[in-house]
Amino acid sequence: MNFLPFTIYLSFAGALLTWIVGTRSAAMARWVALAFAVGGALIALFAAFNFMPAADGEPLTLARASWFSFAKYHLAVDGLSLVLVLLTGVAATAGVLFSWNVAHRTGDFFALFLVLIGGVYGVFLSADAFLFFVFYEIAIVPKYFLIAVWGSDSREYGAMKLVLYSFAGSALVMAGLVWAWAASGGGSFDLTAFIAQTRLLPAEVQTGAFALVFGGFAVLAGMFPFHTWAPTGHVAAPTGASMLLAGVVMKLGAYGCLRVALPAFPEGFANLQSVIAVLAVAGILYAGLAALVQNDFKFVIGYSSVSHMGFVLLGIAAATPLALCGAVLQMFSHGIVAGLLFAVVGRMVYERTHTRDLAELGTWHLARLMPFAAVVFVLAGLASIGAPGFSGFPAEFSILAGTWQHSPLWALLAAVGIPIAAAFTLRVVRAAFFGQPNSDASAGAPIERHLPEPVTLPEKVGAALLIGASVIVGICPGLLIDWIVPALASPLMQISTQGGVR
Amino acid sequence: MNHVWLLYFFPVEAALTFGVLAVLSVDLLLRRRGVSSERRAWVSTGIGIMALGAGGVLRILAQRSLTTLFTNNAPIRMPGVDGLMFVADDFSIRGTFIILGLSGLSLILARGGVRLRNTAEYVALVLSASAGFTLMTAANHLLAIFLSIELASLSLYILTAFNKRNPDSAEAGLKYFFYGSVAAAFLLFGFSLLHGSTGAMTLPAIADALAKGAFSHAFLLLPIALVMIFTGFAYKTAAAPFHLWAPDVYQGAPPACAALVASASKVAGFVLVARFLAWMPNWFPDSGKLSNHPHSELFFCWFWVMVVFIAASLLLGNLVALVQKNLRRLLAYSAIAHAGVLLLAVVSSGAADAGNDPVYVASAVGILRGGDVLLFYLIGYGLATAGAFGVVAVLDNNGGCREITDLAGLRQRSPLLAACLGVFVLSLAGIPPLAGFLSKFVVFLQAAKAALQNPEFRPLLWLVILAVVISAVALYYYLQILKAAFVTPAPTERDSPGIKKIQTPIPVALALVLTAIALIVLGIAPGILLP
Repeated sequence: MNFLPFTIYLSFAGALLTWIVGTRSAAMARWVALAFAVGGALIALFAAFNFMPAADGEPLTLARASWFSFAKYHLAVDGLSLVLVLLTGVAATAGVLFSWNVAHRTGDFFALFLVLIGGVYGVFLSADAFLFFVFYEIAIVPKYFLIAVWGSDSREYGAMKLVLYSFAGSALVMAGLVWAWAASGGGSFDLTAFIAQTRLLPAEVQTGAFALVFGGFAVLAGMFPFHTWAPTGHVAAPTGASMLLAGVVMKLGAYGCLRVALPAFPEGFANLQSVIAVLAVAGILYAGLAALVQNDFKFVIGYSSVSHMGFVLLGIAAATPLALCGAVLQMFSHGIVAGLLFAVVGRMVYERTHTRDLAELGTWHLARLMPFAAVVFVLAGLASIGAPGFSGFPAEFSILAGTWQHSPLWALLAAVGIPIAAAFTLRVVRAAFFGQPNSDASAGAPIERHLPEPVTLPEKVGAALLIGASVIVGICPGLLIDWIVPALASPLMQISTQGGVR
Repeated sequence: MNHVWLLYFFPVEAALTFGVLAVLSVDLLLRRRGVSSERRAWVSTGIGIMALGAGGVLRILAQRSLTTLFTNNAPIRMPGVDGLMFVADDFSIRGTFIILGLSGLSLILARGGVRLRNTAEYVALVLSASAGFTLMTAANHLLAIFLSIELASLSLYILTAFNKRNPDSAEAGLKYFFYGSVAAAFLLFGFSLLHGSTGAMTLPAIADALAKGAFSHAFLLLPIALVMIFTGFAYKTAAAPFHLWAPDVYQGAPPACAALVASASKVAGFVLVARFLAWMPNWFPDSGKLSNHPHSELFFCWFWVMVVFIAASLLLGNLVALVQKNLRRLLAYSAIAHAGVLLLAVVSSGAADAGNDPVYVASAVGILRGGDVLLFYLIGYGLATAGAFGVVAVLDNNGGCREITDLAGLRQRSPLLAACLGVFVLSLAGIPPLAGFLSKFVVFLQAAKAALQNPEFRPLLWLVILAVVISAVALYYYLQILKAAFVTPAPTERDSPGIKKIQTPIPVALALVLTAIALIVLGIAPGILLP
């Protein structure tokens, strides 16, 4: 159990080692990065097998040391963070596998990749708001370089937009935390103590601080109308980075909302609950409709991420235990599925065909040229729609059922998003993989297409890993629910569910 | 009172003055013997650093051995003065150490830049400027404040114009001189009004006189005096809207001199301003606490002036920096933005409580006392900005460094410089785990707490929120620097294929790496380096 902090330390150490090794040999850098990513995943898996939720659901302290008078170095784990740490391990491993062909500055790429992963692990394990924030900001800068150096078209614009949105979000969080800290008398940022003080603040301070903190985190979670960084950034990013960005980094925002904003400011949450729900539903519908009309394969996936993250935010807004449980499940599910979709689009298809234009892809008839990619994408699409048997089904079902308990109207509106998701997913499957080659006479003689290289082993392993994770959780959601439910029953999280239901 | 006692009272300044003499005379001797200018430059730099080091050692020894004369907070009494002309409290002593360190850093970094003709004179001027800075940290008397500022400024004017063959440098020196003279005139006018109405010269005596009702016969003179003084201070610390000299000076001065102006000079200026402002709560106490005080209703005339300076510096510095193409001007505007945060630290450290020990009021932030929050920010900012100018100096010597685009491909041309620059710029941007982040966060905590504890200081909360939010804007221009250094490939020249590597002198490289490491350590565990 106590090995979990080493996910953080190993990632940072691995980054340093990869960087040093990378100056000599690219191949070595790949293997070192893979070793450290797998190491982190194995530690998370080992911890998961031995995990026993505390009787009251309180987080189990992993490390605690005094640091500053106002903050402790305090790491802890409970069911919520364990689910996301596990997700990070899986996504990081898959991300390294799908980045196996990075040839330009390989060592630098994987070093930044591992710094990002280390920051993400740190956020999920932090039990101190200051430490949480430090890791949260550490994860921002590597994103810029990952996109700006290794990205595809309009990468510098996409990178800058993504990083400025993230940093603006974190600035709002910082302003809210500093305000709440000072208003509550300036004690400790240790989450338990911090929340015990801030929840007693007067309602107007809570509302203001909640708006800042939740708003800041929600920017990173892709909440409408602050979501525009997500499609642009994800499209510009290299495959491995977009898998992480959509898969894990967006979860940082949602996790921050759930772990810090809701328990710390219950009255503020109660005041703004309906605003969040409206924005979440708007995000689900708007991003879904936007995905329906994109001509760029990767933009479809980018908007679908925003739409699916809307479900997470809706679950958080409804704040019934069932909806929150669904939100956490959806974070896991979307992390896996979005990674898989981006892997197919970015690595398998784009790097071989060098086009993402759906009309042009239609002339390739990829289902015949790349049956493996087609099968993976269809499975990922099913998981994304929320088909039974995949992780998306229990997640979205619990969110909608839980939201119904709070407000049937929100649930009904959000449910419209599911057929929209089905529509854009099936449309893109048909357009990209099952297009009719040269059906129109104007194209002239049929173009013979040959793929430059077959699907490689790392891609197959990565795809199998992600599909496996989605199917396991889809068939046995109880694995994760058994961790999540006790954590939601803990006194800290009870504050938010009570605040919400009121 | 014998003049030899002055050596005991001013150990640092004495060491620096002897250093000035030693540098100049040794250089003269070596020149007679025909030693090459490169070797003489290293000798001069070595003597300069030894003088700064000796100043630090003597400062520690003076504290230890002369306890009877010079205990920790024992004031220096000058004959014929109505109080304490210089004070040697914790605040000034810590400020002195920071200044010595940063001056030494800028001396080493100067060796990486374009070779100057008379390094000995350059070093001598840096030492005399440093003596001015250390006196500024201790000045407690209007005349002492004015004279120490002038000693520092006159040296800096010459240093700025030191590169005689560069017209930009001459222009910058002239502009700096003109602005500085005007600022001095404002300061002197304000001081004369203050002295004329109170009859006192030391800061505590002025506070006493004000409490007894000085100025009550000429009610409007006090706000005028204060506005004049603050204008002078704002010029000196490059706070908006009196910042206009800074971009030109940073752009034209030799980069190592800009490093000195941006780091050690800033430390001295802000320590001085903090000492002066620390008396403000005694001049204008909160109406709630001392309602019978004659000037309690004049609270606005210092507090709101400061609020305007802070807001203007934050907004103007960050927004104008966005459109800069020249790297040094960009660093200048970033310095203006940082001056806003520093003034916020100054105002809030004084604001926490109008106690007896004005600078070291019980701070809002546990381990750090009020003055230490400011000093910690100054260390983090000074190291990062001096380091950044050190990198600029080396680049200046290797093909020039004017525009941000001149950094293109720095990663390939010199991985070491690029990595150091990355640390410095990220620290300036306030990204964890670097010192710039922690020091910024602590200032915000202190200011927010001061705002929420004293209703009069409530506007500080809005300034904190403004400062936090605008830091996201600031990241844009800092990333422009990093983009040029790490993302853009090096330009390949037609006639010479391959990338021109940059050679950094080993002492300079060492200084830069140590500075970067210090920023990381200070950001994670400041307790290791700070007592």
